[in-house]
Amino acid sequence: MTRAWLQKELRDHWLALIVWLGFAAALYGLLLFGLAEDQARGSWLEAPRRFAIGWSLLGTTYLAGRLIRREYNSRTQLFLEALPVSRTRVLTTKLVLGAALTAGVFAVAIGIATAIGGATQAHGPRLLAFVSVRVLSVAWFVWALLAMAALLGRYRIPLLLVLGLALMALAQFTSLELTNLGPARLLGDELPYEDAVLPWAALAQTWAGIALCLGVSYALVLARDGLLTVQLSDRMSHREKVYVTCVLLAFLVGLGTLQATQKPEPFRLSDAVVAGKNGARVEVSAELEPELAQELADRMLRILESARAEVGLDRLPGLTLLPTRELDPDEAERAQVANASGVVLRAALDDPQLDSFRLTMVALHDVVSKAHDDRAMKETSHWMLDGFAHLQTARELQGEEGERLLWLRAALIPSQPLEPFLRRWDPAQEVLGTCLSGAAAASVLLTVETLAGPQARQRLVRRVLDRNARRSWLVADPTLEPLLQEEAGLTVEAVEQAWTQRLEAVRREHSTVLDPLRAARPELELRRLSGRTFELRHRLSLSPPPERSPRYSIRFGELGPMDVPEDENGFQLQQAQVGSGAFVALPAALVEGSRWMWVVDLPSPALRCSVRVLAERREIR
Amino acid sequence: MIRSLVRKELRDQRPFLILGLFLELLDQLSDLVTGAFAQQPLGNEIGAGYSTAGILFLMVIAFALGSGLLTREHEEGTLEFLDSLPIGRGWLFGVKIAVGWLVLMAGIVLELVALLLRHLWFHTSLDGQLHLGLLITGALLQGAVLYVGLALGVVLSFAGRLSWMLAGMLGLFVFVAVQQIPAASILDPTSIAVARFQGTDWRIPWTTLALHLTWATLALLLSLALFAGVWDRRLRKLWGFLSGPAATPITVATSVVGLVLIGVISTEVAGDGTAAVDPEPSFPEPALGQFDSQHYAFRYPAPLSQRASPLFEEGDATFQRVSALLGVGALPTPIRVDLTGSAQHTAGLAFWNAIRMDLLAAEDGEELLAVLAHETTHVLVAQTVGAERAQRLNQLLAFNEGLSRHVQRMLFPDAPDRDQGRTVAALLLARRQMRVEDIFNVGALAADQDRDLVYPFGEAIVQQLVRRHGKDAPRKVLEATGRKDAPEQLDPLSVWQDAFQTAGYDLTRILYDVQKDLEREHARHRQLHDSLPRPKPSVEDPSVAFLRIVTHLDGPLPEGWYVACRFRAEAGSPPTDYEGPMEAYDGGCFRDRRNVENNTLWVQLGVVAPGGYHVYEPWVSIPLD
Repeated sequence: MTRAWLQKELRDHWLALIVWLGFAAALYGLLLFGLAEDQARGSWLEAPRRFAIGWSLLGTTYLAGRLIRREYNSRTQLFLEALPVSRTRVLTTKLVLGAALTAGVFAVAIGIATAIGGATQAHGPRLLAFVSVRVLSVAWFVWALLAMAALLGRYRIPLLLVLGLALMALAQFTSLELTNLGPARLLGDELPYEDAVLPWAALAQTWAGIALCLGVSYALVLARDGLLTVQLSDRMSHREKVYVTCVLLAFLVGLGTLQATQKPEPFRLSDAVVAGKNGARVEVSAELEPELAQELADRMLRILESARAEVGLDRLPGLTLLPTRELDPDEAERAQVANASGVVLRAALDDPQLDSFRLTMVALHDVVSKAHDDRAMKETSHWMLDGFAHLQTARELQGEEGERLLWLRAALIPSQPLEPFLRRWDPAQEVLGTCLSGAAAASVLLTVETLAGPQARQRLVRRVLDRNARRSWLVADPTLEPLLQEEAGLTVEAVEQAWTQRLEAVRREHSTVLDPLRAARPELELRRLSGRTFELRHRLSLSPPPERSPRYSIRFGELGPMDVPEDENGFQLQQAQVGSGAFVALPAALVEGSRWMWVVDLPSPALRCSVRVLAERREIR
Repeated sequence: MIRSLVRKELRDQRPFLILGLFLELLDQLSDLVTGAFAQQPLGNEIGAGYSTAGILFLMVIAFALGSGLLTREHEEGTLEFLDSLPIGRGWLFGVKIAVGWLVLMAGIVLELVALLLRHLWFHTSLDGQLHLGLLITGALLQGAVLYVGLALGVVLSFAGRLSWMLAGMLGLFVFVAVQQIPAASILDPTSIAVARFQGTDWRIPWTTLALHLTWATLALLLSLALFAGVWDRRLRKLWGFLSGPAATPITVATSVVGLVLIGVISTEVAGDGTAAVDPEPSFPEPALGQFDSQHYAFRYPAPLSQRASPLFEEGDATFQRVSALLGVGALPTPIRVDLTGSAQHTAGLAFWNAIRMDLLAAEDGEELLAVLAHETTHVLVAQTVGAERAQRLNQLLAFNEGLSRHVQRMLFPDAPDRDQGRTVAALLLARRQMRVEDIFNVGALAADQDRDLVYPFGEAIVQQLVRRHGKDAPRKVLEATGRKDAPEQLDPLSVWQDAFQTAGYDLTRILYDVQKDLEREHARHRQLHDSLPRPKPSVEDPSVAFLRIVTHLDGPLPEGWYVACRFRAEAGSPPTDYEGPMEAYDGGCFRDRRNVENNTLWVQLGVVAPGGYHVYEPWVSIPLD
């Protein structure tokens, strides 16, 4: 009876099977041709591996549709029910025929690859046996899976998709690596070469998968006297298709969104000097001399702890400090750390010339900001964060001399109304640079302290950097007037008047230091290289010319269509001599219509930082 | 009556409307949770929604809606009912298309409104403008893509269940065409709305837009004719034919065409046939020789047995020296070595436990053994990591290449290009053109600079690792990489950190040593480095068929150096598809405009030393329209 049954199947599908075999031959021929052209091929046995990946899915899908699904779709299965043959035998015959056809195709594929490659490559019987076992196991697994899916009728595609998506979700949210799982592992890159060890675990997983699929297939066929498979084979209505598609799409997008919202673990170094207390933690890479690293970690922890208490935060994110030789000693750079939280900075930590003020200020700024997911970086709050970081650092590191320096730096900026200056903080910061803008913001806080006392200044800082920053992104921050009124009992006019007077006094007192810096004259000119391309030439002169001509730096980078605050650390850098007279060309081709930003900074020993001389965004025309 | 029809259509398309709303809500919620909600909404998001993947997603949704728009009435038997209404099929068709497009546009408009509201609420003083022109341009271009996707879905829906397959074939055809001829990107409808800015302007691809809107409109007119006139008789026949007896032959035929197209992709296009070709005498294929040693199974062209003999004589000794240096034992089976050739520009290739080498690529036996040592190191590295974790070596590419080069140098110290690679690396660091960490992300390194930089930087990392932690250190890093409990799904930097951390080493410390080492290298060659000019490109006349790229130098070239150019089709082109480097003659290089994709020329200039090594500038894109 089984033989007759097989003959029936072959009679039903002989033409389709010939086409199927022809198609397999065409695909394999193309793969072999591609491999022959591929100069980077390692082994001809790569061909059956690639064939197994492609044909297992394409060819087996067709085979399952033809041998199994068609029987139920066209309702000829009902005729078979009338014959004295059990449903189990019907299904077994179809499964065996499909498995034999699949195995035959892959056996021939391995044989051809061996024949072609045997001349130049040593393919021992052990290797061939390993390749055959692995390829055939995968092929039979796919056959069993798709045969089972074929019995699911109209729900086969959604269920296969859900299976795929569930595996993806599992991989996203656990440490599961799909490529190490059963069939995927069997078809790994090493398949054409590995003849020492068989991946037994993957083989066991694959065969367990085969057994499971076969079990489900038989259960489906036998359930409710075979009625279930018949009912499932009804065509899906258009409405059903639309709903299923929408649900799957929503599931897919939702999965991605869920992954984006996962909180990362804190960043940790394997070998570091660690200092921690209350809610603060500092790590310094062990690359530094142990004493220097410990001293740095302790000092930074003390400053962070003091800042935490000043702002009233419960705990601070971890700070990690890494040494580097790629930065000048007056630079400190923030790292973008994937899959980890906390603040990671790098600087020339072991350089004797290290600008401790800059490093501490940046660390403090970022750690306080990160404490509330960077909400303090909103433009309305940012001046307070900058001012607090500069003031706290100056006091901790330099004491009164630090405050004097802050006023000196702030005095270099032109007099202007206070409220719009602080409200429009992003452009102010860009035009003034970190040193001057931070000092200006700190000088405002110092003015409040002078007028209303240290407690009032602390309330003001806590209000913006803690209480406001705890609130939702959607809640707007209060403007300057009510802020000063509520926390310090001051008006904007009063603070502005006292601030301006103090700045004027500093300007008069230190005119010999400040005037030459104000007289710095940058000159930029665009020169056309060709129809669409330009170059930028620049020079800087001081009046009166200094005895020893310093070097100025120009940082430049290309902009997008919108204006957002730019990270100047990511810009390219060029340095040139002040007052040399000759223009220097920027090492970049500027294309017409593109937008660029450049900033020019001049180091000032008196101010102990680089002074922003020019900041410009320009469309190249 | 029209109003009733609109209401009916809206009811029918409700799942798509709900899907659009759901996706938008999810997007906004996700931004709110991650804190991206308030951070420069326009500036940060203007490009994100207009990526190729995003636009393709829109096309698929529009196609899905379009493919069911007319067939549903037919399938569910409601067409007869609609025919009994006092309204023609033309109106019915028009209402369906209009409502379908509006439903699709609802998601776009909603996104636009959400973005604008967020911008109004959170904008900073740096950019308070609404940029309405830019945003509306983007939305309209997306609308055009939806229109094209909808029209494609409607017209292909007449092919019944073959519609998705035909759409896939069309997509494949466009993909192959663009691969072969970059200028064919005009055929790609997703390129209509992919964000391309020039300053503050959106670069609208007018020709592409006109082409696709025209054919989409013609497709809709054809669909209208089919729907209005011949549906009941011929079309019903055609429908039955396509869904029945023709389905299998068409599937097979289409699949064969698809395979041929895939074959075309994997095969290099031959010359254009215009050049005169000398008759090429053919010789019989050389016989192959075999030599099995303890650690290798060599297969080689028999006429080259003398050239290969150093490998036979010294191969096992080389293996032992390599394995001793790495601290790993012998392999259970010999490494299969195919000496019949390697890929272009390579002396050898390594696989899991097989090697391919080109006997003719080496000068002498010493160099052959050096290549064997290099490739053997790759094999031993992969075996040490193990098959399950071997994929991780893709992310540790610089380490893998650096270690192989290090081993090769240790065993064969007279290799010619050692100092050259180091010099380039030191120069780029000194210029701040790149950082050591950039080598972790090989894709970005290739996109911005030069993929081959993994060799010198990787070698420098391994050298410093060995100097600081001893010769067993690389093996420990590899064992840590291959351990069973290693975390999965890590980005390249985390893979490096994880491997070094588990092995007990501090990656930052090693990188620090590399920086110091390369600083010293730079100091040694400072005079040469400072004297090297930095070339800048410009296009002489963007309207001609053969573009001349003028190379501008900001100083004279040292004796023996020259300027070279190389090109790519787009930012993400793989390095194997680059054209060049080619020497600039008379201050310029040439590029056939047909090889320029999306009217944007990608060019990279570099200066080339007499020894042949290149110092490249970053890639530059020059719009030609």
